[in-house]
Amino acid sequence: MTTKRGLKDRIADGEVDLQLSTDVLVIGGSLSGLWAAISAVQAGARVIVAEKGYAGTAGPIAAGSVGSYFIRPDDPSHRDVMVNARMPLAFGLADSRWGEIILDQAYKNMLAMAQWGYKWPTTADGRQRPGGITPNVLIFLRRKAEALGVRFLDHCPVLELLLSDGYAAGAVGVNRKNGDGWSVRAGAVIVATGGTAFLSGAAGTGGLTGDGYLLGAEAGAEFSGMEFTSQFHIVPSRGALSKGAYRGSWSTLTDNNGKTITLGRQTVKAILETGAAWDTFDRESDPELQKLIFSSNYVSTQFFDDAGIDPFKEKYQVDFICEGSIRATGGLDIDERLSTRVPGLYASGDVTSREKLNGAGPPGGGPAAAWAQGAGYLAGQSAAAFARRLGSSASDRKVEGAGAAGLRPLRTRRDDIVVKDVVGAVQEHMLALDKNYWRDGASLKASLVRYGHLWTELRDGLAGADDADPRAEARSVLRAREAAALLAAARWMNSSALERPETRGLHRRSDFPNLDPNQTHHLISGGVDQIWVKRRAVDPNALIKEAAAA
Amino acid sequence: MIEFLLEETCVGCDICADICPQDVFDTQASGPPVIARQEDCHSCRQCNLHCPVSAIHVSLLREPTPDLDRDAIVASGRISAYAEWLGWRKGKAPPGDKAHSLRLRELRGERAPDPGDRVRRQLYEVRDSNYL
Repeated sequence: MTTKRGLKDRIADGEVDLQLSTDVLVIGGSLSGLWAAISAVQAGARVIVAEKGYAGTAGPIAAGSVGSYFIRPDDPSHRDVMVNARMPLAFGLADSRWGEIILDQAYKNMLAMAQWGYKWPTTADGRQRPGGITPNVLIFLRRKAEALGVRFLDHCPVLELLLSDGYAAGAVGVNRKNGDGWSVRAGAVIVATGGTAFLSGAAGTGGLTGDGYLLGAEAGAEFSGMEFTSQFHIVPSRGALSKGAYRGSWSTLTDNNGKTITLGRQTVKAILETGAAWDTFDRESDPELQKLIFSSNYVSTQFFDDAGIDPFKEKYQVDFICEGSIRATGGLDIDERLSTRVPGLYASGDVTSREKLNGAGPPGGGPAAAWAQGAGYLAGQSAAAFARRLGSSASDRKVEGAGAAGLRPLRTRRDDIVVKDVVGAVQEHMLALDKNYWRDGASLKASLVRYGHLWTELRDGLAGADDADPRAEARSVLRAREAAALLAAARWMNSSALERPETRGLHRRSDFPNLDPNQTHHLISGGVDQIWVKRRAVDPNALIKEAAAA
Repeated sequence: MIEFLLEETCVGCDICADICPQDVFDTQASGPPVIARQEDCHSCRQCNLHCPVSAIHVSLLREPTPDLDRDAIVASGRISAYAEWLGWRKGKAPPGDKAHSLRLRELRGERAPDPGDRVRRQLYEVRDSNYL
């Protein structure tokens, strides 16, 4: 009889309880991961989806809803507005052809759903309006993927990627329902883990700890636009759901002195300079329409029921809450096949850089949801083709775990590194309006020095704790890795933000409040222990060159 | 934030524990699941949607509410209001969505954006193309 060794040591040594193999492994099971899985299985690949939570209920869309861009390819004026008229909002960093590729694919996805039996909302005169991505959409896609033969590993967070001679070859993780370690060998891997809100409390973001960034960077992938990750949004104070659409032409925002303000920078200014911002639904007096406004937006207005507030009669305080890289722009740098620079490693959704679609901005659910669907589908196709070229011997490759910080400490594990404190140190900067909504060189530099020291400590001594309860042990191993991922994300973002001394789109510098035309370039970043940032020129012909090279 | 699970209503199917993306529940050998890690709840309301007997209340508040009146929340129908709004029945999702915001626009009309806001203005003008 031998006692089973601790989970962290077994994982570090590559010992797992469950070993599977597949053609395509998708990490993350929300909108983009589900579409990637459906696309890959339709292309003939065997597909496994590993999801930290439950595929179909995880992620921010499952907690609310989002209106996706929906563009009819056969309507030139519509297309022109959606693709070309929005280019100025990208501040020179987008490529309109990408808009067309992605938005056309998203259109096909939403049309396919209608063919599969999904009933999009219908107007009074009977026309369908696709584009509303709700919890119902996610469950529908999950069931569709199951019917097509996709295998789901729910409650199975990935801890590290497996590499074989520099190729992505699978992943290792834990099952948090039973504490088992698992591994999946795969011909290709798609990372669709979403962005991160640094655990700000925004609904649906509790599982989004930036895991995919760290998985990618450890394998050698790079980032683009990590400075365009400073997304904050309005939320009722004490409220959870940062979905702004519950407000509209019926509401008035004021600062703490009662002066009317607009949503966005003025709201942040009101909070920082007058102490608070307030909202009230005072522009609709018809009781029937008031009722309709409330009931139409119950996804959000449930808050008023819970808080005991009548927004038509009284003002209520609002916050601006960090959404970070969720429905923002920066992330893993990908080519036109949605491939990272690591062979066999693809990415889609919020974890990727969306600069190709909308440059430095604007943020928002519309482009993000279209990107999640379109890029997800294209990533699934690319990954399936890659796995097919490798053939069935892919699962026999000799592999190595790529995970380091929080998983394989360089020195003896230290009990005194408290995961909550690491997360707290990250949040202190990343959740603060005066540090991350408005950034400045001094505080960015200070945070990077602090985070650099903290990283060294984590790298040397952080790992999960052994525990007699296998589920508690799995949680501990996961939490250690998540803390490393959150800290790493903050370092790439702040390093990139420091290298862009100007204000452009989603990146705001209080010490450089204007756009500098000479900085119309991309910032590429990468590295794990040593982080680097470099410039890449905007190349209007990039897509054509990439296509020719392929 | 998950507020309570009505043990007397719960049928013990454990679906909430199965689908909770945040692993908030612990199941028991017999009887209802336990809210074991309330602080991990991220207010997605998926347990509320999936519960076949509407036995779970999730608020849209970031912190738990002290001294909550459970009976009032059940009696007023608030416990199942969100699920009904999304069209769920007995823990099952409909294959589609209601047209809440379309109705609001049809009945209340829509204020045209500021003419100076070129992009929003153009989007507003082509919005009818968004229909099939």
